[in-house]
Amino acid sequence: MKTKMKLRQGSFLWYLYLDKIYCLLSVRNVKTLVEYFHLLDAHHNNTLNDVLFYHFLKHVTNLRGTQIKIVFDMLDWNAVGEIGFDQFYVLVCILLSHQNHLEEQFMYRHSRPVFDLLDLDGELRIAASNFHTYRFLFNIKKQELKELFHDFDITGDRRLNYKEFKLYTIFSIDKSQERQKAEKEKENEKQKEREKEKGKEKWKSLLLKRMSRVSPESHLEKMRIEI
Amino acid sequence: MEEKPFKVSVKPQERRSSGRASPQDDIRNLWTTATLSQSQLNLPLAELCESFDEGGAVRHAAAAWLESRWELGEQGAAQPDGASVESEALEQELRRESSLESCLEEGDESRTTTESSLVSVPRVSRHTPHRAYWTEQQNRLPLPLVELMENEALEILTKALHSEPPTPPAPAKGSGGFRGVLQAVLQAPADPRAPHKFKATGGTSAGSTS
Repeated sequence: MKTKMKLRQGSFLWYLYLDKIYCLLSVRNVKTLVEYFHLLDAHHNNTLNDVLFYHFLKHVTNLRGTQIKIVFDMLDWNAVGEIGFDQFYVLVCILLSHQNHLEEQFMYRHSRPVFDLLDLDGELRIAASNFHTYRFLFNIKKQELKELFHDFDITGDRRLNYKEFKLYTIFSIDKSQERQKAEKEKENEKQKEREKEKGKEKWKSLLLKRMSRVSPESHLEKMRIEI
Repeated sequence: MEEKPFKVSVKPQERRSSGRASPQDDIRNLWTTATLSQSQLNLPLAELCESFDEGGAVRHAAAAWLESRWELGEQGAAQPDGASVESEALEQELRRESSLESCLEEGDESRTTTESSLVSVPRVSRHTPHRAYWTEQQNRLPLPLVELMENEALEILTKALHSEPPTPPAPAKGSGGFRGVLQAVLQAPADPRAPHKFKATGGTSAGSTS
């Protein structure tokens, strides 16, 4: 599970827009998604079975078969063997947030649904193993996961309850904002340096032009005078 | 300007045979005859009064003609035979609106001069089919995206269909695929009690028909 999850460029989901603050689709996008869902619903049950779901994710993302099955088990929270539009919508939002690098924002804004999804056993606590299984959806690295449990497992039971998970989401979004600021500052510095270099080159070219305008005879006369 | 109506009014007053020359009537006559053209001076008062509105405003011949046209249009709207007149009027309105909209799209420079004259017209035009047109456009996806959505769904469904295992050949009536499998499952004898009679009738019927 080392490959990063990506949406297929040019697919229908790739053109949908996720709000950057609330990480939700607009009403218009939801309407189109409903139409898309109904097109895929070949059996007219308002659901997608495991076969359709598998081929949908296979077509739209670069996920492996095992990952797709894991995602299906996560979304089939009623254990019916089918997925309704609610779960489909959550999945699309997760995929789009991943595509647009909004994973921290998505987890912060929708911490409760994400927690419920990761709480597979229904114990109101997320085990490290479960989090490890689904970390590819939210682009969490192994080392980050270890640090997460080390820093936020306040109760010490090697599981995260909802409050601890919420603290983690707040911390992660603060961290991501700091990263973005640092990246912006770096870009600004680079741009300033480029501008300085451009300015220097301009000065050099101007000097060379001025030098070339002065005739060589005047140079020779100056040289003779000096001699 | 004031002298002219006075000069004009002299002649009709002399020609009227009513004989009542009160000052109020004189003023009324002045007002009623002030806007008359030269050609209408010779008309009797009764005919003149017909051409006035209730509010006293003068109804010129052109205005009367327009009003008659509107009346015809209203009557046509009420009657089913007047649909053609109504459609013509709508077409004329649409042409005006389209020309006005084209003017709006073209000139940013002419906005200041035409804004005052055109402000009222677009407001009216939005109440006509354009509002419905824009709301419909707002709700719809662009056509290329709709095609992409449909093509993608079709690809996914064909892949899902090809990935399914082949259906068993037993059910002849079934259409194949899930339906065929379901029918085979349904027709399979689940209860040992019932199907004996069913099988016997099936066999006798086949023998009788042959």
